[in-house]
Amino acid sequence: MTKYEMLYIIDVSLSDEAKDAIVKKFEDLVTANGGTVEKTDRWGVRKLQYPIDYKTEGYYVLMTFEAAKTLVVEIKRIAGITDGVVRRLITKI
Amino acid sequence: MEENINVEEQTVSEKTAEVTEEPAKETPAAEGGEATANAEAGENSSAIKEGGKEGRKFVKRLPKKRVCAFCQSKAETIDYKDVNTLKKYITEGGKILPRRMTGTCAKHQRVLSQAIKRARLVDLLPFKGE
Repeated sequence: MTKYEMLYIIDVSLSDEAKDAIVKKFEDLVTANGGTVEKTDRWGVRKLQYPIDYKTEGYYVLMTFEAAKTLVVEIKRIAGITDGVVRRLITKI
Repeated sequence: MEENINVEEQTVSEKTAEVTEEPAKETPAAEGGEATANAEAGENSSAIKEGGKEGRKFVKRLPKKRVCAFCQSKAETIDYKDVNTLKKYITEGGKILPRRMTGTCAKHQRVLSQAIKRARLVDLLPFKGE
């Protein structure tokens, strides 16, 4: 088990409920597969330094968690195919 | 005894005062010798400084020695989320500044460049500025 953190950007145009659903989805994904979520830090809406899909703002969420190596690969895959997630970056801490 | 030394130093400084007008190299050495001299010699040294100013224009200045900011703060890792720190190490155009301009050590430059590249990926820093 290693500590990781995932920073991801959610589309701002989504409703608050949809954003919460995405955040909860990743938290559940970690806990359901034997990992533990340490903290979920919502940075909120930030201006993007360069536009992604013609959008100039993004909703940033930082999640720190503990998980096995295989689970990280799975989280990365699912984050990549989830609608509403613009970017994600998983790093070791 | 002290008086004798003073007289000697005075004569030496007078000699150097004559010489200083042409070569700039000899002035720092002459000044170093005078540091121990008393008030009387001090008057002479000020005269020399005025004379030496013309020559000193051409003295090559050594660049100011820079120290790695991350070594001083004893930082082991550099956080890619700390945008305000990273911004100091990129140009207006978004390029990573070279080591010779920032004074960062080789070890921390490697960590720093990794952090900047990560920050770019999550849209915290630009790939290309205006």
